Amino acid sequence: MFIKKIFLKSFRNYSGLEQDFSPGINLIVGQNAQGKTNLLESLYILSMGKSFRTVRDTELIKWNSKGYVVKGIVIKKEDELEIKLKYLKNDRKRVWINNVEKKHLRDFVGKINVVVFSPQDLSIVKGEPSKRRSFIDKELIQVNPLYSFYTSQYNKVILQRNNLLRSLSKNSKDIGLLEVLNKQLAKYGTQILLKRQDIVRKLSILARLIQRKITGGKEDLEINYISTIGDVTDKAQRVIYNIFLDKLQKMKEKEIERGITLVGPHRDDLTFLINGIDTKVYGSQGQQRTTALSLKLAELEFIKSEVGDYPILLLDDVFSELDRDRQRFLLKTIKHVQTFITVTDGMHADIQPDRVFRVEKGVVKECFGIGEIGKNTKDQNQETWS
Amino acid sequence: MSYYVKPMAKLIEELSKLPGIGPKTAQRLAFYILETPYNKVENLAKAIINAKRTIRYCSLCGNITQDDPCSICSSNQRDQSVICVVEDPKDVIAMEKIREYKGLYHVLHGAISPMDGITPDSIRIRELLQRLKNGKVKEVILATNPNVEGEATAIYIAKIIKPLGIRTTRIAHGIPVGGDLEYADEVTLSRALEGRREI
Repeated sequence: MFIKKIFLKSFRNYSGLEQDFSPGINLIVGQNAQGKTNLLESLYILSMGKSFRTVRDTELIKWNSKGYVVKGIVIKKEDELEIKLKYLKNDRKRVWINNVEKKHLRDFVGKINVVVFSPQDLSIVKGEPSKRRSFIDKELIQVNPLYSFYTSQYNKVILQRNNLLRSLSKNSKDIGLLEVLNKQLAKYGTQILLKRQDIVRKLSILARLIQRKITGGKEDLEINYISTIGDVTDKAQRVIYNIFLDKLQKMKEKEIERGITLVGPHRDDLTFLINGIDTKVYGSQGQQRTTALSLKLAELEFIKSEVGDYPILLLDDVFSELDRDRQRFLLKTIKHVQTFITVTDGMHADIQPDRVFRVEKGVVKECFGIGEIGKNTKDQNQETWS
Repeated sequence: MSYYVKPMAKLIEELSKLPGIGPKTAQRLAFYILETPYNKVENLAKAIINAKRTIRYCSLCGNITQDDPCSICSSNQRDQSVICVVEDPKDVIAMEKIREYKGLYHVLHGAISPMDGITPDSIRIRELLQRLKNGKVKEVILATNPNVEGEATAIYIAKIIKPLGIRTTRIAHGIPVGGDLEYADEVTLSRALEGRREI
């Protein structure tokens, strides 16, 4: 799949934009704070219905405007699809597919798939567990429309259950209700666990292959799902459900004392082992970086295997952070993927882009040939575009 | 609101307290009422007062009624061995519209939601158990809403009824009749698949 054309209206620092792109590598150059990432952000919104940088949609509106519109024309398995998202202040987000308005955002999410790789993604390896959970959740939402239903139900039960736990610490007469909510929690939680384990298993196989290739066979990467309810690896739905209920039963006193739900998918984590050693704790910067790269490329392959088409890859300011070998590996891998790469001037070393765009103060201009790229980069070392 | 004379401001204020009525609609209604002949306004006011004064909750099922017990509970045409448990009097009306169900009802007036401070004691579960004691009831149909709170309520009631040896059933969820499969959303479709049965 690829994005043929995009339209923006009062989005971030773009007052209006209409731009077509190459199905291959699109290089976006420009100085800082000109709107390079904003452009990637708009593509991400077309896929996920929300930004990867903020949860507040009002931040996405151009200064002094009432709302924003993002529209894209996408080619997916030879079909042309027009997808549009509009947000006005004090209103909900409204979405259209081929000019038909959809009632739920979930009917819109995942119509096109994107994978973003930005410097913050290192936190999937290094950061707190919530970063890793949200990483796999984002993947699942893209490929499984039911998943967001299960997570939203699960979160509602958590909210109810935590309230009950707090009231039980004062007064234990509703203890019977806890069992009911345990059943509900285990029911939705089991679905989440099954889906998450499945995706982790698949990502693990893919990432392992990629990591081996990047490191010339020196590093053996293994990804594991670590659940707070106990060992649920490769277990059947019924079994996981019972393990979950048992664990909740065991945790009862402690949970009432604390007033929160202490076990379940909302507290689970992933580990990344390189040659059997936990990368998060003992890995070098380089290893962590390679792991993040492997993970992102595994994500690319995973979506391909699930939806039958490569997603769109957004590389936000990461290219220059990789060393030469990894850059080369990356470029080799993305041959059949529509890719958007943002770089600051003069950092586009080995990339052989199909089209080059310069972004300046919210205006996108295409560059043809070396002369034009170099226009504003006099003081920087010139690169050749062989 | 200071643009209006006092009685008008008061009328708008009271109207805007109604569900689904915002300040704009309240203002429109208030002007409409002012332009309406006196006797018609009096009819409206009387209807409101009268409904409020004469309608009460049935002491058995909790549905709205003029007489206690209500016409459904006191009817000898209804099957006294089945009780359908619903959250709200509006749900009784929905069930009655199908004209198929001949059993009794029990209105809970809410669903369990610890977040909103609604515990099993705050809805009419105790009254339901009381009704089951006479031994006439053979089946309880749980028709609470298919959301987290409604499900929790259904599971909770099923749990406490089970020891009494009364058959407990839950209404099915799924595809609307007359609808096309392709238009059903994934969640509904998956629930329908879960609840499939042999034909």
